[in-house]
Amino acid sequence: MLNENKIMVLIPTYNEEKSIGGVIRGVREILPQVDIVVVDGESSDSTEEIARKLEVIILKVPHSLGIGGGVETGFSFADLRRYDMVVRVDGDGQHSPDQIPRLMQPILNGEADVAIGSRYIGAGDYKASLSRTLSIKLFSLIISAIIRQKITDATSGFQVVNGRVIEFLSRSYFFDYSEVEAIVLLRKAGFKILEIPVIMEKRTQGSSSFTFVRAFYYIFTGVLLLLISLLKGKTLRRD
Amino acid sequence: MSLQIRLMAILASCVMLIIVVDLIRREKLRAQYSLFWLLVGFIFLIFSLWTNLLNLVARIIGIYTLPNALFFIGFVGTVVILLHFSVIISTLSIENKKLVERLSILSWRVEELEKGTKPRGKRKNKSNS
Repeated sequence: MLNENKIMVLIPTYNEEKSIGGVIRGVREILPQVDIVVVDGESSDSTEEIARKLEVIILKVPHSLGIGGGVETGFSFADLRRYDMVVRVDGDGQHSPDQIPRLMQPILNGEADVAIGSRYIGAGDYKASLSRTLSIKLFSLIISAIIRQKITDATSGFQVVNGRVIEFLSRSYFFDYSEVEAIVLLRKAGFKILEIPVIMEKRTQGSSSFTFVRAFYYIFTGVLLLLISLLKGKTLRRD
Repeated sequence: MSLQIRLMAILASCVMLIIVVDLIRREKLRAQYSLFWLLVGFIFLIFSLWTNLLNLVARIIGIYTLPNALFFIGFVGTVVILLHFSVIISTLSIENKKLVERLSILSWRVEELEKGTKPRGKRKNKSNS
């Protein structure tokens, strides 16, 4: 069943030279047949060179577009090349490639349109900073209330989506892609979302951009955007 | 409303209208983005010239000093213009994002095509021909 589908692994990167090689090799080991697309936001280190040596597809986007712009570009690319499935993996080594098949299973079985890897269900013992944990918990609570489905890891970027979701996301230009808002929009558009327990590693390099001040800003803007996204029409749904 | 304030308001709206028209004439401002400025300038000018109308509007909205009513109308007009431009900026930023995304995909395609293209014979050297 895996071979019948055209699968793309999307890795958004920005200065991930210490981890990107391991991530690409890890993905290739688990899924040798898939296309790996690295969307790089003008890294100033050798991320691009490392990815190029490993012969993956590299899309370059301006840093100002942020990780959201990188992810959107990846989905546009996937839509253009008619992929049946996109696996999103972070370039910092937090998402272990050997967990990808578990995430893919519900999509392959047709049980869900979006599978999200959650570090807060199951055996995972992921420890994040207090500000990050608080914001994840808060978003998860709000989203769960909005979409009337329990979501435990609202900010997880470890996801697998099917072709219909790829088409939907690649054409929804009016929102700056964030995992939190995407969950609400996708649910509103009628897509089935499923959380799968995964074990996430600590970042293998660099530091998270999540500081306490940023966390507050993230929560404030995130909640505001979430509330606004509720007012958006259902016209985004594509059949 | 004192004659001094009236003259100042008339002068300000005339100067604003002249600047907007001049910017359009010199192709520094596109006509489609100048409509709100012209509209607000004209409304301000009409109220400055026709104080009876300003008086009527001031009473309707509950302001009893005419200069305050004039400034209030100017303020509302400016807020409308700012909102209008925020919409335009949002549209432009979305268009910009679309362009950047397409450019990045096209760049990759060009790279792939260049990899597959082999040079066809020697290029003619113009200096020798």
